[in-house]
Amino acid sequence: MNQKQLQNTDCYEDILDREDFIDCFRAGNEDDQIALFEYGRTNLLKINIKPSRGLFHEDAEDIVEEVCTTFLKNGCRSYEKSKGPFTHYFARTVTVAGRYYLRQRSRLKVVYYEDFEKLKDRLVNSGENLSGEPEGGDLGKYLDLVSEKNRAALALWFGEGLSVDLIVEKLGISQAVVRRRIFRGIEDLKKKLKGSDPRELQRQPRRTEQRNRRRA
Amino acid sequence: MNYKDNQDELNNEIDAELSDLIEGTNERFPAFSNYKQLESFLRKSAVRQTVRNLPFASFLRQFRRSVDVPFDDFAKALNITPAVLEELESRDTLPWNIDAAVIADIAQGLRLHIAAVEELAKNSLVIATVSRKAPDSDIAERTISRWLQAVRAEFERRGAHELLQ
Repeated sequence: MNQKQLQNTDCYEDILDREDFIDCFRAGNEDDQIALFEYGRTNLLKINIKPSRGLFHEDAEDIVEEVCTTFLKNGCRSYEKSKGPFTHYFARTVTVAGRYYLRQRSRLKVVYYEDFEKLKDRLVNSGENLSGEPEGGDLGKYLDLVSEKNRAALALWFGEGLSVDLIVEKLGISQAVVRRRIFRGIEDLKKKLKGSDPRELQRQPRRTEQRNRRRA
Repeated sequence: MNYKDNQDELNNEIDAELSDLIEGTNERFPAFSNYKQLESFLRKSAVRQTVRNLPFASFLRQFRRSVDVPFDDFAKALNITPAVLEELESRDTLPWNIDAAVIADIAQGLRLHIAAVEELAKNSLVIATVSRKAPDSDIAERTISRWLQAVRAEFERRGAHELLQ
C-alpha cells in the first residue's frame, strides 16, 4: 500500500476488514496502523458527538485517539477474528469509550470544594477525634450523626474514596439516590456540627447549590 | 450462546481493553468556584504516576473538562498563560517541542510524575506517527529522550523531588 492509496479514505474500511489485518497490525505493519487511525478519524468521530449531553467534536477526537493509542500500545489484545469484522469491533469500542466519557461529563459535582476540604480534613485526615484520642480520623464518630441511609453512602464516598458509580454498584441503588444521600448527609453533618467546632461549616449556599438542593 | 450473551461477552472484553480509560474517567473532583481552589486542591492531591492512553494535548484538555473550570482559570492554576495552554491543547503541537520549563510548570500544577510525563509523550508519539506528523520515529524518540532529561533537570532545579522519586 503506497502513500497515495492511503490517502484514499474509502480504502481504510477494506484494509481493516481484510482477513489478515489484525495479524499484520499486531506485527507492527505501519500502513495498517495508519489505516486504523485514519478510519477512526474519518468514520467514527460522529458516533460520540452529542453537544446536548456535553460531548463535542474535540471530545470525539480525543475518544478516537484514546482508543487508537490503546489498540496501538496493546496490540488490540481482546479482538478475535471469530468475533466478526474488525470495523464493527472498533466502532463498538469507540461507542463504549464515548459512554464512559459521557458518564464522567454528566456526573454532577456532589460536593463543593469548601465542604470537601473541611470534611475531608475533619473526617478522614484529622489526627484527633471528638474525645481527643489520637487517631487517624473521625469518620466513624461523625458518621453516627447522620441517618443510616446517608451514612453508608458517605462512608463509601469519604472513607473508601469510591466514585458514585462504584457506590451505585455496591449499594444497588440508582446514581441519583447515591448523589442525594451524599448531598443530604453532608447537609446533615453541616447542621449538626455547626457551633460545635471552630472549623464549622458556615458557608452560605450558592445558586448552584440551591439548584442541586431543589433537585434532591 | 444467544445474541445477548455474545453482546455481554463482547462488552466485557471491551471493558478489559479500556480498563485504563474506565479507571481514569472515574476520578472525581469537587466543584470549584475559582482557580485558587483548584490550585489548592491539586497541590494537596497525590502525585499522578499513571495516566490514561491519551496524547499530551488531549490529556490536558480532558483534565480541564473534568475539573470543569473556565479555560483562563485552568491556565492560572497551572501558572501559564491562556495562549500557552491553547497552544499545548492544539493537536498540531508536539509536547517535546515545548520548553521544558513550561512542561515543568504544568507537571507541578497537575502533580504529574516524570513517568507520567514520559507516558504522555510516548502516547503523543504514537498518534504523531500514525497521523504522519512525526514521520521519523527514531529521531522523535531521541528528541523526546533529551527533552525528558531537560524536564527532569527542571524538576531538580525547582526541588520537586516527589515528582522524580
